[in-house]
Amino acid sequence: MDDKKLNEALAFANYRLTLQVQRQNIEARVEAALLVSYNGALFKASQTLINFVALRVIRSEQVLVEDNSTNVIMIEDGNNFLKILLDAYDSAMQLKQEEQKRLKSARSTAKIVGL
Amino acid sequence: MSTCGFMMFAYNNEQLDYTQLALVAAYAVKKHMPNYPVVLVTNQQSLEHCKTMHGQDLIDAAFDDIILTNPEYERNMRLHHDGAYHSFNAQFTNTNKHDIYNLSPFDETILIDTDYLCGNDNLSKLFGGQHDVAMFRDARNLRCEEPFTTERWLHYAGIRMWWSTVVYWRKSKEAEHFFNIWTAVKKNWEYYRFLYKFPGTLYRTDYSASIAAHMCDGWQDGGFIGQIPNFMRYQDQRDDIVQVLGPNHWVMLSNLPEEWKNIVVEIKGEDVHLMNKKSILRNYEKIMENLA
Repeated sequence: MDDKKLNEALAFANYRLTLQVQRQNIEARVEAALLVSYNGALFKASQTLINFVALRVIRSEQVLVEDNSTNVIMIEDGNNFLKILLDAYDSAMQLKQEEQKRLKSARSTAKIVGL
Repeated sequence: MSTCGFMMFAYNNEQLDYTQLALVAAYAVKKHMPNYPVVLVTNQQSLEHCKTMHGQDLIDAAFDDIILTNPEYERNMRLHHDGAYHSFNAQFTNTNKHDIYNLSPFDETILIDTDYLCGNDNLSKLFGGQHDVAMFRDARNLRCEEPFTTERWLHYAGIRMWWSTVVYWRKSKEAEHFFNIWTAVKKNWEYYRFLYKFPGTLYRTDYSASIAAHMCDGWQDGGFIGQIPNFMRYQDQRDDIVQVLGPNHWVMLSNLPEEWKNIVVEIKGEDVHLMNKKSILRNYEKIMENLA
């Protein structure tokens, strides 16, 4: 293999590594965006939590949930909590979708990192 | 209604202008959490230098209050790196970090290092929380990798490390106990160094805070300290800033000893602990332009 071909292959390897790190960093941003503070407790706006709260709200039942530190928190206003969870979830997913779209069309290392 | 705010320490040395770093960190707090006051703890010489170099207007915009202290000089030389190819030694004045409990004017305080730049409002979610004290337990570098074992454990058969880069506490008996033990650990550093078997002679507040957390929790890991959610993102001292694209948008160079593995990384919308302090100072104008 001549030097040119090897250099191109190594540049591609660098591109792949940068792409993978960028994907992980997007996940980290999404995790941060999913964080919700409510009633002095921190929650991750996960699909599971959203569904559980929605179910309790529909059935007009008491909402008792575990926060990120496994403390049980009594939610006084289930509808308001659900809205906050959904807002956080939607904005996190929107962010992820936009970033993924951008990555799909990034064909160079510089494009991946937004240069 | 409890009062909440941010605080930071800045004592200049001959190599690093910590007050300049504090200006950047304070501007980042105010950019993303404009409703919270920022208080600087410094000494007279550093403050005078800051006034001369950066002007009173910038200081007034950054800090809501300034507390002057004069910690006793204790030799604590630290090896710093500025990217992959330059290193230097400088005095590191961190020996009075535990005093912050008594210095803070707030009911709830978040103490941040001057090289910790906020990129969102997540830290403010700690106010009014369930824990009396909270810190980061986990960290990830620019590549989203965990740090070396020595940055995660005090000893391979010892206790887990808590990062003292960001410390939240609520004024309470429990938090007071934590800071009192931290003080005792600092005073008897040699003893605790051997007891907890960690390497080196540099006084590290990460270690003393971790020991205080362990002791306060009844010599166990039982949840006394709240974990700040997710992880602390850090730029290693060997890394560098390539370009500042926005108030919380960076392109950085992640360096490894094997040069061919160096990559550029985009960091956006996150808090970042920029350990290469000179990289902040080199890009000072551009960063401040984006944070203003």
